[in-house]
Amino acid sequence: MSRPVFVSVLLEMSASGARHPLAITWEDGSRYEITRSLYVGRRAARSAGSGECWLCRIAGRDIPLYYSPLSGRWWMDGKGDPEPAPAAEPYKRVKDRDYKPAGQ
Amino acid sequence: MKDRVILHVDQNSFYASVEMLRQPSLKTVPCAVAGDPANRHGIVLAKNRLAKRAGIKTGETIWQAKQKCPQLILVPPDYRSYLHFSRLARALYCEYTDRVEPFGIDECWMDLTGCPDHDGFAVAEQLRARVKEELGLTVSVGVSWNKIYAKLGSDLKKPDATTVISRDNYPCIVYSRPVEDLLYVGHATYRKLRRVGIRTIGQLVAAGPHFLRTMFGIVGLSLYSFAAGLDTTPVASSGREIPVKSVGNSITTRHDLYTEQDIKAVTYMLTESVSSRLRDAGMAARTVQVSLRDYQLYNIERQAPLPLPSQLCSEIAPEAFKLIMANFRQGQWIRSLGVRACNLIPLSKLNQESFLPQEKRRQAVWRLENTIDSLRGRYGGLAVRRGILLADRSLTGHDIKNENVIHPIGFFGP
Ligand SMILES: [Mg+2]
Repeated sequence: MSRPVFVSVLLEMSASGARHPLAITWEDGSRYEITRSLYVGRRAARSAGSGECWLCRIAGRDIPLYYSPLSGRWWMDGKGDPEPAPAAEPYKRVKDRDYKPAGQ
Repeated sequence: MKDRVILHVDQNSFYASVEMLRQPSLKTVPCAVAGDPANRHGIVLAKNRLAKRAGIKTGETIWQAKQKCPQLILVPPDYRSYLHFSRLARALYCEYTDRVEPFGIDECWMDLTGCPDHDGFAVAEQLRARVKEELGLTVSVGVSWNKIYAKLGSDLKKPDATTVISRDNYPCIVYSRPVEDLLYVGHATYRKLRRVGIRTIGQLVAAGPHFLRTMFGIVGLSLYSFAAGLDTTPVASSGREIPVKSVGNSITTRHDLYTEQDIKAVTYMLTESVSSRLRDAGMAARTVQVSLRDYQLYNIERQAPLPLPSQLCSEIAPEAFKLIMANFRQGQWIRSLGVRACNLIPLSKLNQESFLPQEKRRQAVWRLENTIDSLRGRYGGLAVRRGILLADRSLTGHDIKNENVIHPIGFFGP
């Protein structure tokens, strides 16, 4: 199982418009340097969602880092169970106004 | 002439799939995307597989769905995300051909004839894999030599599948299908066909063009050519905008409408956004169409010519209101109302200069409505409102134009 872990990213924007992630900060506050990154286009994440994807070399391993232009957030696939589905709420009928047919 | 290579690509349970992509745990529970229950847009817009298994149907009310399946999870629609993924999918299709014609938010036709990649099946399989890998969504694809069969093919196997309807296999795939599977066979046509014993597409073809012509007029000939695979309608190029055929808005109100005052307010609100969109498109309408649905989901649609081609709310709304009241039975509860401007002509074709006094007045109203448009453009759709709309804000506190999503244009519609 996998869950999305939203991370802060230190990003270099080059003059040509290319983006290079340089480092990320994990949810527990630990910081990881990215020694090399490769933009691979759009990818569906193993955890959740899809977005633009960079393969980032962190401590010798290539790990996908995703960015969604829709939410503006960056995330990685973390270990653990995804957020459980919400519980169903009982349906409450919206009360209609009292029915007064015209002419009565 | 060589056959065309046409694909129809359909994103499977699109709204629900986007929600499950964002929140994968929704895959494990029955789940439906439905309008805000408190706002009475309470209709199931899309559902996942578990919800479908529980008997939930698109278009039914939240209340009905909850009765069938009390543990159903409801997710409010997020049109911004759906449009985002719709655009991404379309951009992907455009890598294969410049002829990509959207049909609604989640479907497209593609014409691969003469393209470097023109093996329909191979491209279909590639698209399926790429949409899954790059967007995390699934599509079903139909491949054929005409748009109608391609669309039929994409409906046959879902989700995540390709169906090829070729010259060799079409009689055994298409002819046994029920006639309502054919695109553009709506409810009225379906009932009429049933009355003469036509239930399958094969029987429709066997009935022949002459019989169908006497039954439906010109439309009968189109029906025949659709059923027999003779349709040659081109796939529109993505580079050029599809001409606007009609502009319409409809709404399911927070509470049922049964007073003249309420109906009038909602009619004006809908017409304001319709006329503003007409002005954006530079078009004038010659016909107005209204649709009403009552609480028993009984539907009617009526249209009437406008005295003059118009894009003005102050001219279209009274006609729409008259039309609605002529078809409204006292004591009826109206659940949903629609106003549509059709039979459009570009404003440039209208002779604008006239020195008749009433024409001068029209020009003044036109300037007034344009000014209101620009105020709304700057300060939001609710910045300037008609007094009539303030009677019951729960009915009319909507900014219809900006909540509007594009829906497919009916073929036999106006
Ligand atoms: Mg679909």
